[in-house]
Amino acid sequence: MIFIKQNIKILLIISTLFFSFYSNAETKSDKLIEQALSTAQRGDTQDAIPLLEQAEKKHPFHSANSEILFQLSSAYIDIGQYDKADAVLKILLKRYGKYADRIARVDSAIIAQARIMTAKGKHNEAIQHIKNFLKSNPGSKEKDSAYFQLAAAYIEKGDYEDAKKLLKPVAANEKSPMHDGAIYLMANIAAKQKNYKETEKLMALLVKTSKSRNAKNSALFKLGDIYRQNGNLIKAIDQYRRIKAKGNDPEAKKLNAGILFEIAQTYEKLGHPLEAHIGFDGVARLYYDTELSTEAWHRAILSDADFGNFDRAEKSYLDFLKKNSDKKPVNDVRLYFAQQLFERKDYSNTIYNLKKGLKEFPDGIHAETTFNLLGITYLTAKQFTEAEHALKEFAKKFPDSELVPLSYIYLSESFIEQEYYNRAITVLENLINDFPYSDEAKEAANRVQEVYMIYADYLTCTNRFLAAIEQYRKITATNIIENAAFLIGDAYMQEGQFDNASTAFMDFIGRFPESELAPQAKFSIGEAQMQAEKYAEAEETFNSIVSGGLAETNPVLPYAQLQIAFCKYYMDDVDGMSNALAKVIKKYPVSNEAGDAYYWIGYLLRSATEYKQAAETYDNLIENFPNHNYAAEAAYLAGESYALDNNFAKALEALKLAFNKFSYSGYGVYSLVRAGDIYNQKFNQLDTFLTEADKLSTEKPNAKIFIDIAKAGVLMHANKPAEAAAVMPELTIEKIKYNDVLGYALALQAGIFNEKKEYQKAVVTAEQAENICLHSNIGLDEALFQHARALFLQNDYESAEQFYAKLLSECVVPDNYVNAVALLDQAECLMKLEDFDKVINLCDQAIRLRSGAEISARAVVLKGENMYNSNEYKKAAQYFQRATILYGKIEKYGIPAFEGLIKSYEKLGLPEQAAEARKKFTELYPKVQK
Amino acid sequence: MINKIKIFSGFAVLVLFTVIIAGADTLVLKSGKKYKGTISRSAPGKVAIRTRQAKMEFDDSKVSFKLTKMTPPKNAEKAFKLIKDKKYAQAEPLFSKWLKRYNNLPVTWFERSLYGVGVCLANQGKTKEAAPILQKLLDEFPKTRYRNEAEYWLIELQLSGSPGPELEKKLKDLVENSQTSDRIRAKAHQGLAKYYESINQPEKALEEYVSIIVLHGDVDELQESTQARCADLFLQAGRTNEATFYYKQIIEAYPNTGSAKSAEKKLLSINNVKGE
Repeated sequence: MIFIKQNIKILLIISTLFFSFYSNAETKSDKLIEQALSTAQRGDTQDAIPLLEQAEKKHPFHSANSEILFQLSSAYIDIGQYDKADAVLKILLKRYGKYADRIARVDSAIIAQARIMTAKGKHNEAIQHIKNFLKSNPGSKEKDSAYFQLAAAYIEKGDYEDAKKLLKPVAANEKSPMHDGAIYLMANIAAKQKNYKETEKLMALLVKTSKSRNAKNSALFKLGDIYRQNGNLIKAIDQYRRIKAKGNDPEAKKLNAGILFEIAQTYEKLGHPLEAHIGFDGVARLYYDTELSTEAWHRAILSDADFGNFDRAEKSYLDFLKKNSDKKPVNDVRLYFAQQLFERKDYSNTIYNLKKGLKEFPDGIHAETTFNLLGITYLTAKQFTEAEHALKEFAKKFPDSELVPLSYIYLSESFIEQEYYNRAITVLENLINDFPYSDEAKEAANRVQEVYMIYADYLTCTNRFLAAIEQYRKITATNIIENAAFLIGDAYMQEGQFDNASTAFMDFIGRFPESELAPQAKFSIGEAQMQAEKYAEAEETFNSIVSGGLAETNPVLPYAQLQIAFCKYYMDDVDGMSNALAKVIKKYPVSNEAGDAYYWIGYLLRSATEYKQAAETYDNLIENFPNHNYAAEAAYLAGESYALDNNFAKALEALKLAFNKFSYSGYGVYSLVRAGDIYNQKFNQLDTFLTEADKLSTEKPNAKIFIDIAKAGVLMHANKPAEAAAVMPELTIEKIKYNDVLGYALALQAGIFNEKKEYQKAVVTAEQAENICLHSNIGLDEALFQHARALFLQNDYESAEQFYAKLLSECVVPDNYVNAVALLDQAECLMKLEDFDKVINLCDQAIRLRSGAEISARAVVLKGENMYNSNEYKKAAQYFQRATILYGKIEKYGIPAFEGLIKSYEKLGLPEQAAEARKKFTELYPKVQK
Repeated sequence: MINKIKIFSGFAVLVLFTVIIAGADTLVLKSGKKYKGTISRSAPGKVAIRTRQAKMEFDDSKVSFKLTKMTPPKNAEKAFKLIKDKKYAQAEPLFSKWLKRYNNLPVTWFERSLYGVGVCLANQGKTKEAAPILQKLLDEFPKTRYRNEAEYWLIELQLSGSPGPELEKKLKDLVENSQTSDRIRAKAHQGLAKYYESINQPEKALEEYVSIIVLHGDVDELQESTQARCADLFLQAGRTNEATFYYKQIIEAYPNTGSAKSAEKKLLSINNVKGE
């Protein structure tokens, strides 16, 4: 009690405070006012206005009434209802104007009036209003706020410098309640003045210094916008992602969810799928009770697929299906997965997802696209049967789908890919009939024409030319009909129907006289006539091309002129050919055909034994067309022609030049061999050649292997097989590289085997050589010779004779000795096979080659033996006698000649002559047993 | 206005009661009995109070700790200011004294002592000593207002040891718990990222780092290092588009720093490869 008495005053105050606290806190008016104010402070203007109006109406005498009125006026200003705002402020000032020293909102209201004036465009009035306020209230706590509003008025008026002067001190004072606002306004001024660096600097300062989360967020927003507008998304997103409303209330969550969703979308646009996924997933998980969460979950699944994490994306998707009754938001997920997987060419998983999608949403809005894509995926995966089935099913299930015509196109493409052209054409024709007005029908109409062409080309490639012609004839499309018409002629040519080909090409020229292919068609007519051996007509055709007024640069012209030369040749008009070839050179001196012409003139001159001129013609070819296809051969032939002209020094020079120019070609090596042969055979200087060859190897180390091959060849021809074998390098394609050289080298190798009496090896190697030489057009003579010889030396006369016959009919054997041996070997084979008729002729050919006494001796003895074997003893005796007289001292042929002569005389019943011959035989060869 | 009135009333009441009870602890039993004197922990589960007359001991179960009042330490304001000023070495002995004074009592000042000692030790790098104290803070005061700070440091401290699956689970729980603050969640992501890097799972680490960037951009102290790790890990994964983006962001956001210089070098190497 004493305590109560002593402290009665304090207790009274406390109890009053308690009473007022508890009673006030619990009244309905408080609740309404609290709700109205908190709604307004949250910035939820539309909701706040009716609550504030109600609070003012119902509780005008409440202690918080001045705050209610101020917030109401602010809300009206925010929504542009300036007159209402002004009226409310007037009420506030009327009620509380006298208590400005105690009620803070009085000064705020006066300042707010200036805000309204500014908003209404009455800048000067607003400026004057604030100036008056500052003058009459120099110590107002709202001074900074007044400066701020004054600056705002200046800004609206466009007077930025005055505004900045007012704002700078406020912005510099971190304790000022208007500090953040002042910086914000200064940043706005900088932005208006397009001083973006200053704006950025001020906003960054605000972000750094502001203690208010809201101000910081606003600054980050503004900064982000500045960067975004300047196209700097990297910096923009770095600002946006730092924005976050504090607290866990629905508004904060809504804001944060919205921002995060935007951020995720921006990352998505930037091509950052992981960040996008985490952003969307964050909205779905952290703000699961916001409106955006479902869409965010959906997008999180999709962006995870973008990132390539399909397993997790599918798991999340299945989780969504499980947890949500409304599954529609994710009905596109499987299709999206499939599209992503399709792009990654993972067709098996694409198909898996499409099938699943159709099962999960059989009637969903994406079912049509899904079904269609299933067919296309099967197609792309080359699962044609499934594709056909799926696309047909699709057309059946969605007959009205816009995708059906396209699926026909895809189906036809699948048939084309499988080379089922007729089925492709049928599908396209069905499309044209079923959907005549669709864009795809137009496409199909074009495509079907192309398919005729593709099909025809396919038939041509498989040698079914007449069937191809049938397809070409179906083509009517203007863009390809010209080609098709031309190809008909081509196909007839390939079929060997040259008359039809001519007709087709003539038809082509008739229909497309201006075509770029017309000269070619004319040319083809000429070729067809040539093929049909109608050379006169062909010549006429080629002449018409040449004189047809085509541009001089048209490549057909020199070729046609060249063909005229061949027509002349086939008509046995050699002079005509020569003249025509000369025309090629004269009229088209730089054309490739001019090179051809030189080559063929050389050929004609050689045939006419005009070797010197031939050699000079070849020289011209090499000089004018060093890279011509015939250049290497011409270089060799120049040397060969000089040799035929008996100008061996010049021949050596030309052949060595041929090797130097074409060291890595068959003709180069061949030329060196021929040079070696000449050294040996004509000058008896084999060693000189070998020394020169070694010198050449030092000068051209890369060509050493080819020089060694040539040395081996020369040594073989010089009948030195052991030395040849010693210098012959190992022959592998890796080492030789050039097929024509390898073929020739193998042929030489076969010769070495023959000399070593390794005939089987010789046969195998010669066969290899032949296979290569057939394509390289050089060394075939050597290969065939060695092959035949290997067989001959094994007494396989029948096979040997065939190879010799092939050699002598298909090849020019440049070495007369080799040529003679071949002739005699063949003759001997025939004789052994008791085919006597051609033997004498072959032997005579060999003799005419004048390849030395031994060859002649063998030929004459062989003739004698042939006569003896065919029971013509008299003729036999004559040949044998000639042999004994001319070559009797050559033991190898002298002995059989004497023996044949004795036998022949005996058969003729001339014992005296036989005895006389025997006597001479004994004198000459006393040790030979009879 | 209403708030101000309320605050004023509350303050007045507080002043009044503070004056009344100043100078001694008040132990209130559940039976309603009160004792004034100095309260201490005498043994586990036992609370002792030394009054002017005697020393008494009670089972915890008989004490109403809600109503029991402990006198605050004299240097409370100074100790917290030292922490604010990051003078941890000076603050630590003050908080350690409190720890002894309020030893194991379920009262606010013991909670504050644990926090103070734990944070001071952690900031001085005394990992081993700090971790159990902070853990104790969380165990004894699960609703403590220092939970975030304690969790933050615990993650940091545990990572500096040898993190294992247990820590991974704990960090995942923190990430998934909706009550976890943004700062702690961001820290937990960082912890997971570092853990995954330590066990050579860079893809998982990258996702955790990206989570900090995308979800917790407002946690300033983690941004620079996280952006650098993101850039490096994206580069390692061959995603140069993203790596370039982050290197550029580092250069823009942290100019003239070591991170920016390193980013410039790496950016150059990427561009060299791209343009080779």
